[in-house]
Amino acid sequence: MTPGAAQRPAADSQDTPPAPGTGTPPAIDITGLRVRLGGREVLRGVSLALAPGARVAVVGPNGAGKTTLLRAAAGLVRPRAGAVRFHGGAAGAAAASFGFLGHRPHVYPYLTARENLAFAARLYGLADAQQRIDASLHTVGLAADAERLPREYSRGMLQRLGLAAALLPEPAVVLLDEPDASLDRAGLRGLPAMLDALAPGAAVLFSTHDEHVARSLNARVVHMRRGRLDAPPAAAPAVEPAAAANPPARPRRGFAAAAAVLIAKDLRVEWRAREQAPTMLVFALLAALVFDMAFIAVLHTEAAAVAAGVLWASLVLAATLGGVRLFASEHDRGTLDGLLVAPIDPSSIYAAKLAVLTLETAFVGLVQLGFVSLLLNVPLLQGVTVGAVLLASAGMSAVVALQSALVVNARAREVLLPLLALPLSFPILLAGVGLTLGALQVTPDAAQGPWFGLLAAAGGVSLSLGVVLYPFAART
Amino acid sequence: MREALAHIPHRELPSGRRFGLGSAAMYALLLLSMGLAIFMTFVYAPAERVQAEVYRLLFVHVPSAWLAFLAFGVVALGSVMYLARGRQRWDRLAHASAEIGVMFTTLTLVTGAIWGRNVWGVWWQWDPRLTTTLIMWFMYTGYLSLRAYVDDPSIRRRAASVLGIAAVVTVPIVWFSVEWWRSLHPRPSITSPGGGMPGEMLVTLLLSVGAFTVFYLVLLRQRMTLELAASEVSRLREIMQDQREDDR
Amino acid sequence: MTTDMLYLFFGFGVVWLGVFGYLLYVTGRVRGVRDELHDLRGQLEPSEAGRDTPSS
Repeated sequence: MTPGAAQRPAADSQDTPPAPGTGTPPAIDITGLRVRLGGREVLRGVSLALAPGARVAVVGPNGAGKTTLLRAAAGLVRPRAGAVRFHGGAAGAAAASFGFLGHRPHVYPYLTARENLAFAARLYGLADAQQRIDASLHTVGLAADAERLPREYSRGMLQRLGLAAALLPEPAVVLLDEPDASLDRAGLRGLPAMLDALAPGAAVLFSTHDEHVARSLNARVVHMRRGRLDAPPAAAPAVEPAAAANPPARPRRGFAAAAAVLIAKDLRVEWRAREQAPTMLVFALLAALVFDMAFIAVLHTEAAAVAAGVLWASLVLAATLGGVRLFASEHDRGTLDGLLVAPIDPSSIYAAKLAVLTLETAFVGLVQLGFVSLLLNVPLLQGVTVGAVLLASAGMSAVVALQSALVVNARAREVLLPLLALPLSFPILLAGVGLTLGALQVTPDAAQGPWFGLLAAAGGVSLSLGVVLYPFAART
Repeated sequence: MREALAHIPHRELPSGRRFGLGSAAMYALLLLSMGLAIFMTFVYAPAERVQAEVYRLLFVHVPSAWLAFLAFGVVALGSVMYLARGRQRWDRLAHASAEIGVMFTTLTLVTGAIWGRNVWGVWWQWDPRLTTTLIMWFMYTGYLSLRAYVDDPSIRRRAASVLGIAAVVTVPIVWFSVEWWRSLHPRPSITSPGGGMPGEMLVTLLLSVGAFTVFYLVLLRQRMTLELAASEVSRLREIMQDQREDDR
Repeated sequence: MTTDMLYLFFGFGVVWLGVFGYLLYVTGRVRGVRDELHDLRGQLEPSEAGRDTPSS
């Protein structure tokens, strides 16, 4: 049907011992899953197993727990009890071969359809991706729109692109949350064919509240009500014939490789959307103006001291502002889920966000050096101050990125982020001001070493905390 | 429905309707140690030559500060244990300890300001010890704000635990601030060798620290009981909600 | 000397008010929540007669 669809990506060709003798283990095996969300028990012991190639639809009313079941299967929700196993492997979905499509497709509106798929391919480390991307775009009917930005797409087109992205690594298990709620009529009719073409032999678990939809997708129906499956299916569901061979677990991308892919994606998005850096810059310039006005009485007599203060106060505030949308933009679009189900170390997400914010903050800081020099007629553009701005940008970003990830689920997160980030930024502010005052001869005999040491220490501690703690903050 | 209730153990609250021997002993110890600390602060400890009487604030100022450090250390411990083990009890410990720590930090700042007004002539000095303490206060106020602003309990517990670990870096900064920077704040007179504190003062200070520690433990216990009772209430409400839905 | 004592009095006043005020506040809330808990258990138990499994 589609060229290239039949061949497995190179990443899957690694050898693992096949399951011996007594038949293949279930493609996905959910046992005794219990999940609490929002203080409510949403799943109350759900067990379900799908043989390779099986298609099962979980049908139930709103609030039955269908979405939570799929999110828990994808490892996005942490169960209180129970386990999810893929292909008889160890519990946990970390590097398993599965595709997940939630209510919101994991699609970046400022990357073209082709770029979105190319990003997914790089994230999953797929070889010969180009051919497969072409085939996928063709199969989901977006070949003609491949070079357009998804922000111009209809909802149905977005969802089809999301499906193409989720199926791009040719997963052995596909988790689809209410495909009928977001796919257009034509897309829904074509769904079985798309699944056959893009993920042949995969076990597919749907959710829907419409039983007709489930039947039209040729799926075995399991009813769900208030966190339990009615009439739990027999232990071993019927094995469909076209069962694919047991795919091995997908190898995890290396930390640096994953981070590089994410940074490249973020920079491209930022280049197109210009959401972060220009806003931070204008804010920093305005803040400098505000501080200058506020200290108008000493502007002439204490220009150097004011300049050092204005530079660093505005930079710290701008970095904090940059953190407000750092994780929130991915979280609100649902694309953060796409990153969290990918076979990458979650810390690389933090590292990438940190790197991008560092670049943006450094850009703002360097412009600000020139701007404040001009406004207050002081020589701020020096090696020491440039070095301090670069190092401090990294340190501030390390602080802000972790806090930004923490407040992503909070009410009033725009207000909360400064409350959490600013107390930890004081060492950086202090060191920056100290170095700048030295460079401007306000404190001519001040040693630079300790201040740079403080900058490096503050940044290093924040970075280590972030890398270690981000994975705990990421999953719900 | 019955089996749903059966597998959730009927939790017993500490110092519940039965006023246990343990809590009675705890309150007795609290009153005893506090009374003794007050007596020693005002009667036993000799007057100070330079600062006259106001120096006696030391006997509440220093214990408050130490207990704040201890409380924030316990926050970090509870946070680490919660992330490692996932037991809600550890998170309750962290939350309770953070609130008490903020209270003790507030008292430290207020008594310090009153002492400073008398000795330095100003309420506030831009001094490393004072400034870092204020930053620590803001950090843990932020921790409590984060808890207040995240609605989903499990997300709240995880986010708070992460912050509870990150925030503890402010504690050593406060502690070592007098060593790292030139400070107006009196040097630690216990840990520094040959620190010139008369024996009676030292004994009084140590006893006050002991009394405040008992106070911390009592507060911690009450605060954790409160958390436990509140979570029990929401659990029972959930069960009632279920029953109503079952009846429908 | 008198201002000295005044500040001392002031400082200790703040501390004892703060600490005991907090203890009373928490204790009051514990009592409130416990009463609520008692009510809830009372409402639950009639409909769940014979539920009282010993806690383990």
